[in-house]
Formats: sequence, C-alpha cells, structure tokens
Amino acid sequence: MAREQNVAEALRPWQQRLTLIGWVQWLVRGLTVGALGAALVWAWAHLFLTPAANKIGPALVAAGLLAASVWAVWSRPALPRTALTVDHTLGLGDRLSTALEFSAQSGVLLVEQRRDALGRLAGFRPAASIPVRVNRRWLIAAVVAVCLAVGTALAPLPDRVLKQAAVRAEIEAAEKAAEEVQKALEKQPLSDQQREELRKAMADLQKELQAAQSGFDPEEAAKRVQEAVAKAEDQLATLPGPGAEARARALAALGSQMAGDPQLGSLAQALQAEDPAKAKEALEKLAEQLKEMPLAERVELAKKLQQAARAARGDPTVARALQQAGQDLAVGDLAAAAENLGDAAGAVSAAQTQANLGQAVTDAAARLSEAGQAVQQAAQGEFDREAARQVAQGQGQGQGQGQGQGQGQGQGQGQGQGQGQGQGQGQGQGQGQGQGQGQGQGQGQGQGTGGTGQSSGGKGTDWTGDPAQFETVFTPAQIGQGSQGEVQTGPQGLPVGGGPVPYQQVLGQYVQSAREHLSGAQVPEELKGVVQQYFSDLESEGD
Amino acid sequence: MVELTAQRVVDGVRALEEQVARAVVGQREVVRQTVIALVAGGHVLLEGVPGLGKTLLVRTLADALGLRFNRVQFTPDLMPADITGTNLLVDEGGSRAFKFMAGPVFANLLLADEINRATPKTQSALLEAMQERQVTAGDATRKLPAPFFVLATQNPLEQEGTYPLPEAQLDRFFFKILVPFPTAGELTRILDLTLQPAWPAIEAVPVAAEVISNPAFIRTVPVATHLKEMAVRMVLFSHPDQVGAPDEVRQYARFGCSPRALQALVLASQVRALLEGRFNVSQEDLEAVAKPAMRHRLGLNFEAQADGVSADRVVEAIVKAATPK
Repeated sequence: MAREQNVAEALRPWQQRLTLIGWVQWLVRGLTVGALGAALVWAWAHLFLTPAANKIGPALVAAGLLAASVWAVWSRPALPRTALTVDHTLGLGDRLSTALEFSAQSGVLLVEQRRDALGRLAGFRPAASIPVRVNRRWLIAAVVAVCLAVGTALAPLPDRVLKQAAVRAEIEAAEKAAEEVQKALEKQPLSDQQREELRKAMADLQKELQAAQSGFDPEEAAKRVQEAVAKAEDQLATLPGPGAEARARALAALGSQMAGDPQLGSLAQALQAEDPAKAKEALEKLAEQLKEMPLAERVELAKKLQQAARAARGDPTVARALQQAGQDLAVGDLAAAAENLGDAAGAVSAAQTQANLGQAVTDAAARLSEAGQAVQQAAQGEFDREAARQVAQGQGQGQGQGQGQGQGQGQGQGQGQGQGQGQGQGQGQGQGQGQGQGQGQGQGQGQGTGGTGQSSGGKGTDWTGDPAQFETVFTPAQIGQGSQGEVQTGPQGLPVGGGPVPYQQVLGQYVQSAREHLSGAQVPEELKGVVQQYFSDLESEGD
Repeated sequence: MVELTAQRVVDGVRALEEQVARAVVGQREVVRQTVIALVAGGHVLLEGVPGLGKTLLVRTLADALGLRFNRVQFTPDLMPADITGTNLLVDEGGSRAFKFMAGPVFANLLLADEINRATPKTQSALLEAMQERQVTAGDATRKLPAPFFVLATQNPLEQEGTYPLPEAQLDRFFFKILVPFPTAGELTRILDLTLQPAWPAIEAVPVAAEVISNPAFIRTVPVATHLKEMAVRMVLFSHPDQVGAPDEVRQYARFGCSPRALQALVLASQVRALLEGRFNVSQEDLEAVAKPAMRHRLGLNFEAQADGVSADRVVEAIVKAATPK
C-alpha cells in the first residue's frame, strides 16, 4: 500500500498540473467557439434586426467558457493517464506508467523499476517541466474569433437595420397606443354589441401590428400598419352611431346659449362639462320647480325654452322636447311641460352620452392615426438614429416601456385638459389650454433613462376621465327642412309619430292652434298677450 | 554464484555489447540486435553480402561469452548428417561398434553460413535442431548443449542455385538482421585495425554468460498493459484481413506474423530495456525491435515486389498504426 501511495503521491502534483493545462486549453477552445458564435450573432444583427444580439453574444462567450471549464474538470486526467502523459512529456520511457501499474506487486526488478521511476521523476518539477502552453492553432483561432466578435459588435449598424429598429419601435408604440385607446373606449357606456365590435376591431389591429412587427421589410411593415390603422379607424367610426357629431354641436350650441342664465344656467354648465347626468338632473329639477314658479318666470322660461329648442335644432329630439315644453309652459299646461322637460332631460342625456362617445372615438382615431404616421415616417427614414441604434442593440427598450405620468393644466372658461404620455422611465408632462368648450391642446415631454421619452399632449380630453362627460353627436340637421313627404297629423292638425316636419308648416299649425285657444277661456287674460307676442316673434324669425 | 540483480544484468549485457563492438567495426545496430536475440535465447538470421564481418561477429560473441563455437558452410551437397552427426562403424579393441560422431551442431554457438545454399532437407535438419534443441540419429536422441544459438547467414544477391527458406522455417528465427555495408568511416577504421599487428583482444564477460544461461530473469522485466496491447496490435495489424490494419498491409501483405512474433517482440523489448539501463519495457523498445522481429515473418505479395516495397516499410506502417494515440 505504501508503495502504491508513493507512486500515486508522486504523480499527484503532475495530475494537478495537467488538469490546469487542460483547463486552460479547453478555455481557449471554449472562447474560440463562443466568440465565433457571438460574431455570427452580431453579423446576423447587421443583416437583420436582432435587438437581443447584445445579450446573446456575450452569453454565447460565457457559455463557451463555462462549458469548457465543466468539460475540463470532468475530463481531467486520471492517474494512469497522468503517468502516461508525464512519461511521454519527460521522455521517461514508460517508467511511471509501469511503476504505477505494478505498484502493488513486489519483486527484485519491480522494486528496482519503481525506485528508478521515482528517482527520475524527482529530477523534474511540474511547473518548470510542463509549462502552460496552448496549442498554437487554437490560440490563433481564439484571437481571430475574438477580433471577429469585437469587430462585428462595434461595427456601426447599417441604415437598413436602424430603419427596421425605428419601425419596430414605432409599431410597439402603436400597439401600446391601441391598448390605451381600447381601455379608454371600454370605459365609455357601450352596448354589448358596441363593446364586441370595439374588441374585435382592436384585436384585429393588434394582430396586424404584431404581424407587421415580425416582418423584415420596413416599408412593407409600414404599409401594413397604415392599412390596419385605417381599417380600425373605420371600424371605430361606426361605434357612436349616426348623427353623433351634429348632436354634439347642437348640445354645444345649447350650452353656449344658456350659459349664465339663472334658470337654465345649471343645464348650460352641465353641457359645457359634457356631463349627461348633470344635464339630465338640471332639466328634471327645472321640471319639478315649475309648479312653484311665479307666472312671470314661467313665461320667461317658456321663451327661453323656445330659444333653447332653436339652438339645439341640430338634435331634433332634444329640440322637439324643449320646444314642446316651452309651448306647454306658454299655454300654462304645467303637467305637460314637466313631462316634456323630462323627455328633454332624457334626450339631452342620451345626446350628450353619444356626443361623448363620438368625441372619444374621434380622439382614439386621431391617436391611432398619429401612431400610424409615426411608423410611416420611420419607414421613410425620418427617425432618431441614436434611439434606433439603442433599440436595435436592445438598449433602453425595457425602460422605454415604463410608466409615464401626465399633468394637465387648464385655463379659460372652458375646461382645458392636457395629457402627457411618457415613454421611458421618466415623467411626461402635459400642459393644456382650454378654450371655449373644453378643446385643449397640450404638449408633453418625457425622458427616460434608457430611451427617449415622448409624450403627446391631450386635446382637452382626459382619456381616463369620467365617461359621462362624453356626449352623443347627431348628424347636422335644420329645423324646418324635414321631409316633404306625407306627414301624419293628429286631430288638431299637429304632426304625430315623431317624423320630421317642415318648420313653416309646423309654425303655421301652431299659430293657428294658438289663435284658436286664445279665443277661448282656457288661456288667462294676462297670458294672452304673451302668447301672441311669442308667435309674432317666431313668425318674424322664420321670415 | 552471485545472485543476479537487475543492475548486474544490465552491466553484464552492456559489457557484452561493448566487447563485441570492440572487434566489429560499426554495425552498432547489428551488434545490439544480435546481443538482444542471444540474451533472449533466440536464433538469428543475418542477411548481408559476404565480407561484412558476420563470422567475426559470431566468433567474437562466442569469445566474449566463453561459449563453444562452430561454423558450417552450407553447400548444395551438404547432407543432414553433416550437420547433426552420424553413427560410424568403428573398431574399438577388436570389436566393431557404431559410434556417434557429433556434427557441428553440437556447439553453443553455430554459424550456419549461407544457409540458403543447402537443400531443404539439410535446412530442415538444422531447423529441427534449432527448435527442439536436440538431434536424433539412429534410434538415439541427443540433447544439444545449452545454451544453443544458431546464427545463420544468407546472401541477398546471389539467388541462383539457392533454396529460399520456407516461411514456417523462417518463423523459427527470433530475429532477421540486415547487415548493411559499412560507411566510409567504418571502412577506414577496419583498415586501421587490419594494419595493426593484432586484432583487439576480447575479454570474457561471465555475467553475460550467466544471464544467457538464466533467461527466466529477463522475463521478469515488467511490461505495462498498454505496451502489451500495443504488441498485440502490431501482430494483429500485420494481417491484411484484420480490422485496423494499415493500408500498406492490406495492399502488400499476403499473410501476417505468427504468435512467435509477439513473443519475440516482447522478449526482445525486455532485453533492450535492460541494455538501455531501464527496468521496464517502453514503447521505444517495441518500436526498435519491430523490424528484426517481424520482417521475416511477414509474407509480401507480388504487388509489393513489383512496387519495390520492402517488409520494413510495411512494418513501419504497422508500428505507426499500433502506436497508442
């Protein structure tokens, strides 16, 4: 046993030396293979956009070194192999391998042989006798591979790849914009069908954007994005239904005309705030106050309701309800007036809701269009090269998708709402100036630590605001320009069924009806003058 | 008798080599291979043109070892009895009786000069004596003296009127040694020695004789497993139908070496190791003894003759193929 240990112990330092040498040699090989792989990845990144190249390349080098280390340890020479190698390296004529093999046996020659082998080995030192050398070819290959890897990593990316990166970044921004648009629209009071249509439209858009993102041709991708955005805009445009824009204008005109009025001021404020619930509430409250209202105020209110009906003529339903309420009030039919005011409250609320949805859809379409434009501009070469380079090299991309913060400031009578959207880890700021009816513009800037932050200002619309402030907009229409076809009329000649009737015809019918009622005792004497004056005014305006 | 030790054996064999080298100018490799074969207990076939010192070599060996030496010049009319001896009717005290007259084979060291000139019958008689180390004459079998070594020579140039040794008989020679023509320097040295009044005296090396008489000691020289495997591969790869055989063997070999080649390889390597001052066989030993041990055991085909490919070249390819990578 002692003899065995002698030989084995004598070989142990040599075994460690050979393990070290093997490890170094395998490291060089691993470095070569890893660097070649990295060079290939970076070369590929110069041909096709590969944002992960800067992660994959170093990872390949590290993997090569790690695999080489593991292999070197796993395949370290055993003692017999060590003995053979040392024999061969030191020219010991198989002394050590023979001594190790016969170390457990005894005999005259074997003892001599063992002594001879150990004596010869004692004349050498591992570090001096077996220097750490790397195969020259592998060394050259490693140097070449590393140079290739460094060269390909540092070489500037071609414009084509930068353009791909810019387009891809813009498409990603468009995807985010589409998500935000969908979230904003989902908050609107939508019917099930509208919600389904919205989701389908946005799903189609996202699918197309993802497909465009995976393409290699920037121009083709931009074209695809444009088509997808246009299709989505068309689909969104159908959500509010017909006439939303006209109804919005009618409500805006109504709110503007009634602003500051002591009786209808609350309605005007609600409309200017684009709040359908408050608008409805204001009219309902007014209906409740009719009974306690002095006659003079009722007369005054009747006139204002008639004026409001004219202002809201873009929305026939609202206009009709207000006009009917005014007429009922003018003739002293408080119950009918209250009922019509209630109808008007519902109509105004519905109109405002539709107007709000229309406005939201308009803003959403604008947002999507803006995103599509950005993609198109990137495809045409209008992009920030440094930002594109960072995207192409996978720098700052993760941070660029961080959170943004918006701040809005409003000025003026209306409500100005701004929105800032930041991309990047920084903050975006928006400033908006509201004018008139809450139309505002804002600009924002965001800065991220990894990428370039961008934000766009709001346009007086808070994407995350209360859906109640949106209103339904009707298609523009004019009172008195209704259908010239058959009109169903009631017993008193008044039209029934709610169809549009030419204004002059209606006015004539109502004037006639008023005169008939004025001749009777149903109208108090003190109001007869008011009624006559009212219709005189109407006739003079109609002319 | 002093006990044989490793160092004594090494010293004795080296001394024998030195003594032979004193008389035989040059031919270091021939001398070494001959000594190896003798120490290993094998017979040697020397091939070379006449006048290269073959007889001198054998005689010097005999002197150094203190062995009895005989020489037989083989001719076509040489009969087996001329080698082995015969029973003669002789008068002994008025009565006639058969008396065995020992032939030249009864010696420790026999030089069979130009063995290929004798008829196969006579060659066979000698070869039987080499293998069995005994001679049968009449109804009596007589042991040859021990040690018994045959060093046969043959001339590679003169082939007319010769009887080439059959493969089976060639296989019985431990080594086939090619004796090259001396170099210019060696020729000058030979001339200088010739002009001296006396040839250098050869001193006896008793230890060498003792080693030769005790071949078992040599066989205890350790051989590592990987070297045994290499020797086995060398023999296997000499066969053209063997997996792993080199292209030269497949193309030029008609048949491969016998197991005797394997024995010769290892035994010769053991002796050579001692001559090198080593107590174990090394790969270098196997490579060094491969040609003399295998060249006469390898049968080459006509294509080899046509291409001028020698057995040594094929053996080189075999060694290369058998060497551990």
